[in-house]
Amino acid sequence: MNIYSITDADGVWVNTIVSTLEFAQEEYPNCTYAVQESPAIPAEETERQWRDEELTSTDTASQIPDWPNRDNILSYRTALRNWPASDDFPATRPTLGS
Amino acid sequence: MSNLTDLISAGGGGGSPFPLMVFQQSQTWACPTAMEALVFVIGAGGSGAFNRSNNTSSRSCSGGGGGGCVVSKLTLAAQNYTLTIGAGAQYVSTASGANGNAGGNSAMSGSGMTTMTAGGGAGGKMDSRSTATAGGSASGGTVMNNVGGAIAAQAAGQYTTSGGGGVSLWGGNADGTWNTASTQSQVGVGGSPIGKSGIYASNPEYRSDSSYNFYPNQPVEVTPFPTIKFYQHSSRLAWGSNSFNSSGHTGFMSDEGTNYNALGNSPFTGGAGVSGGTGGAYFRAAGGIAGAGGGGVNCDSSPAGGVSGGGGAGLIIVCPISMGA
Repeated sequence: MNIYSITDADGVWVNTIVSTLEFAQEEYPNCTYAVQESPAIPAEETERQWRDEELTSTDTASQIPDWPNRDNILSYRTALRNWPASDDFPATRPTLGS
Repeated sequence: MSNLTDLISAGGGGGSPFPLMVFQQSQTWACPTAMEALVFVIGAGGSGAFNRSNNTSSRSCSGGGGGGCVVSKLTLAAQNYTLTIGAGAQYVSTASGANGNAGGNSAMSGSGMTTMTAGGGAGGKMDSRSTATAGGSASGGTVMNNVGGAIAAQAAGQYTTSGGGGVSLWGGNADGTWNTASTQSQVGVGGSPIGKSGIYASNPEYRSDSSYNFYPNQPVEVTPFPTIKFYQHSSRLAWGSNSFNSSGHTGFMSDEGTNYNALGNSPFTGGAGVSGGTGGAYFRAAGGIAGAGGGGVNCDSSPAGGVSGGGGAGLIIVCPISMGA
């Protein structure tokens, strides 16, 4: 079962339905049947979202003086904040040192 | 007594005593037995537009139209029927913004019946100053042919956005509503399947804020088909620990840090639109469920991103009234 976008011989959109390919071909003969994929979310958006989540998840650790690995966490958070403005964005994520 | 309904009614029952049949995939359906039934054919919802530009003050950005709703009272035979289910329109998320997409058409046909066709709702418009967004068409019904909820044209204004159109189950006004406040992070309410009422005032702010305040004039909702439920779950922060089901909200705003998400729509209710803004935040409109249109997003160029609401898929509901010869 897929979502098929169906266009006629002239390339005009006919319908978009939830069906099997066989059903689409039977009900809409002599057409083109393209499986519709969800549009991709831009990498800038997904990566910024990941960055925001990382900052949130390390927020508590950054505020407790004796939290394990705290210095690296602080450096990591700085790198996260600077990342969107850097040339590494969005291809290369900052990493947390140990 | 000639059938099961008489039998149950005689025992004091009321309403339809039978389970609903809900079809969400196109198919050739072999009706298992002769029956009298009310049949609802519902087209898919269109997706909302996503306006992301520097000139938001000169635009108004609409949600998608709701799918049409065709209702027939049919005497079905134990034979095959062709059920076509329109797909909900894909949401829009692009760097520069885009109009929404149209929902697919749903239909039911078979020997001895007039073909019922419920059109999909139109895609929302990035610029709705002079162009309305149409609801889906409706034809072939012996009881009702209800056009889907639309979104009227709206004068431009910064952050002006609308919810999607609802599915008009009773032929009332299921149109999406505009939020015209020049304020970001507000909701454009989606169209209701039971018709708009006075509580849908302009510029609503149905929002859960950090103080857990409850704003006045919250809308009520119904569950038109109690056995049809929708379960939404997300791992997103702020709403990650919560799940929302079909008990119903006409879309309210949930803050997720600096991000703003409209969510929680009931089935057949248009997705809430979001008035976006600045500050590197994300703005996400609610999707329509069960044939409803998705909400639009209207923000300026600086937000990190966002996504309009996708359209709800169409469906066909068979409500048996009586069974047997």
